[in-house]
Amino acid sequence: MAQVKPKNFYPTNGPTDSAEVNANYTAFQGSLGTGDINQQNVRSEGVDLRQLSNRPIEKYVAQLRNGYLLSIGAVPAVDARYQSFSLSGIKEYPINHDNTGTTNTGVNKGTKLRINGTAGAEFDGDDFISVNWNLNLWANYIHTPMAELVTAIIDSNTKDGGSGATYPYGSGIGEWCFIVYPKYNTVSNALNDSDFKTAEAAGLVTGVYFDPSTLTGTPGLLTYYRGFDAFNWDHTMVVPSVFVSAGTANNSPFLMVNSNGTTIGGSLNGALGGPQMLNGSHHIKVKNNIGSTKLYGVQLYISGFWRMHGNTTGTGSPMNCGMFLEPDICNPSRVNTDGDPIPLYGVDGECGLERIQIDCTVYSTRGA
Amino acid sequence: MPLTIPNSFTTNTKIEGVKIQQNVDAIKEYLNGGIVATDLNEGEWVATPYIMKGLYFSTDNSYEMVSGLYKGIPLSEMPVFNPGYAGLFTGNIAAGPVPGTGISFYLEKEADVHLQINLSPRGLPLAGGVDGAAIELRLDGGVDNYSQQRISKEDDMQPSSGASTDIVGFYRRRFYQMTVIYPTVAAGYHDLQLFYRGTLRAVPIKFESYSLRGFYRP
Repeated sequence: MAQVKPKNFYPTNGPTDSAEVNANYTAFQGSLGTGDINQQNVRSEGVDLRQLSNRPIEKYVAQLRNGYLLSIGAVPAVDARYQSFSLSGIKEYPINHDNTGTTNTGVNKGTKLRINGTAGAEFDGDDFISVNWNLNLWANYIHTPMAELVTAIIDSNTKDGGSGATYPYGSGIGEWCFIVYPKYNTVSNALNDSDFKTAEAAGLVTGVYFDPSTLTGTPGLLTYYRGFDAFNWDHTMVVPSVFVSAGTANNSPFLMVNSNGTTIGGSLNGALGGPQMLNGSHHIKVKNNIGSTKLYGVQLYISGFWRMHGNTTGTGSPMNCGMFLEPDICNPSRVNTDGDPIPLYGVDGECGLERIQIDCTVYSTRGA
Repeated sequence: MPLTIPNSFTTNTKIEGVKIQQNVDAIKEYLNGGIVATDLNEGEWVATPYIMKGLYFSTDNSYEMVSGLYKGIPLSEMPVFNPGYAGLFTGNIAAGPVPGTGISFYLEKEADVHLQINLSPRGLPLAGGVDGAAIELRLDGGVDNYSQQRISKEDDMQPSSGASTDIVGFYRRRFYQMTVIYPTVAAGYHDLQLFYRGTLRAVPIKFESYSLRGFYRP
C-alpha cells in the first residue's frame, strides 16, 4: 500500500504543528519503502519490462563437468565402470565418478548438479525445464570370452533358447543396452541420493516414468519388464553395447565400443571405433499447480543391461514390446554338481564412462 | 533505495524552511528516478498484463519500450544455421579448423549461449592415414574436450578368424550431436568453429546444423 494522503495546511492557514508536518513526511517515507510501490503508484503503461525482471526467459541455468579426462588407451577406474544388474544386483547407479574416477556423492561432483545455489529453482507454473548431457562412453566391458557369449546366443540351437530351453525368449545381437536418465531432487538442497526421483515422482509433471528403482519381486522377465507403451521413456538415453555380428559369428563379434578407448578402433576387428560421445536430453513443462515445489538439483543415473522383449499379446506388430532388466549372467557351459548342464543365457558386463557434461535450464514460458 | 526523510521536527520549536526544503528535495529525488526494482511490490501486482506491449523490430531483433530499449530474444531463438552438406575437407590436420564450419554471432552484453550442433562426418575408406580422428567444437578457438567426438574410417570389418561375410564399413558411422552451454560469454563478436584432429584422407560432412540461443545476463 503506497497511497499517501498528507494533511493539507492550505487554505486553512492555521498554526503549523510539528506533529502534523512529521506525520506527512512519515507517510511518504512509510509508504515508499522497499517493496511498497504497487498499482496505486504506477500507471501500468509506464512500466518497463527490464525493471521488473532481469531474466524474463532464462530463469535459471546451471552446468557441471565431472572433470574425468583419460588419456587414450587408459582403463577407467573401477568406480567409473558401472556394472550390469546381473553382476552387481544393483538396479541403478547414480553416475557419480569425479575428476579422479572415484565415487563422490558431494554436491556438484560427478553429475550431481545443483540449481540456483542452496535456494533452489522456484516455479511459476508452466515453466520449462531442459536437461542436456554429453556422456563419453569410453568402452564396453562385456562378458568374456566374448566368443562364448555371442556363440551361445546366436547359435542355431540356442538363439531362441533352443528346443525345450529354459529361456524361450532367447537373446539377440543388438538388443542389449544400458540406459541413462536424469532424476530430479525437489526435497532438499542437501542433494542426498535418496531424494532424487523421476520427474513425476518429484512432483514436476504427471506421467508414469520408467524407473528401475521401482522394480519389485523376484528378478526375471515378467517382474522386471517395462512396456514401451505403459511408461514414459522420453527421459532415457540408450548406451549401445553389442551392435552387430558377422555371418557365422563364431569368432568375431563386433562391439560398438571396445579396446579400452584406443585411438583407432576402426582398424581392429571386433571394434567399431574409439570412445563415443553420446548426447541425451529431457525436456518437460512443469505442471501449473506446482505450488511451492522447488528444484534443487538433477543427477544422471545408469541401469543395465536392459534387453528388448516382445510377445504375441496385445495388438499391432510386434504387439507388446518393451524391455526387461536382465538378472542372469552369461554362462552357457554352467553345470550342476552332478555335471548336468544348467546354462545361463543372460548378459553381463560393465559400462566404462569417462567425461560427462550436464546442464539444466529453467525457462519461463509466460515471458514478456 | 526506499525513501528516507532526512529531517523531523520538535514540538514548540520553529519549523525551519531549510529542513522543509531538504525533505521536499528527498521526495523529489526519489520520485524523479530514485525508485529501484526492489521498491516494487512484485508479488502483489506485477504480472504480464501490467506490462505495456512494446514495438518489435525484426530487422535487428530489437524491442523498443516506452522508457527504454530491450534487445535480445523475446520469445524466439537466435539465428539457426543449417548449412546441410558442408562439403568435403581433406584430412591430415593437427587440431585445425574445418573449412566451412565456422559461424559468428554478436552479443550486446554478457550472455549465456546455448548451442546445439548436429552433423554426420564420414571417414572415407581411402588408402593411407590412420583409422581414427577426433572432432570438437570451439568457442573463440578455446579447446573444449567435453565436446570431443571420435570417428573412424569406414573400412569394412572382417572376422578375426574363420570365414565370414564382411560387415560393411558404415556401421562405424557416428553422428556428432552435442549440446553445450557457454556461461557468461562476454559482449561483442564471437565465433564457433569445428576443429579436427586426425589423418583421414577425406571427410565429407553431411546434415550439418547449428542451433544457437543467447540469454542476456542481468
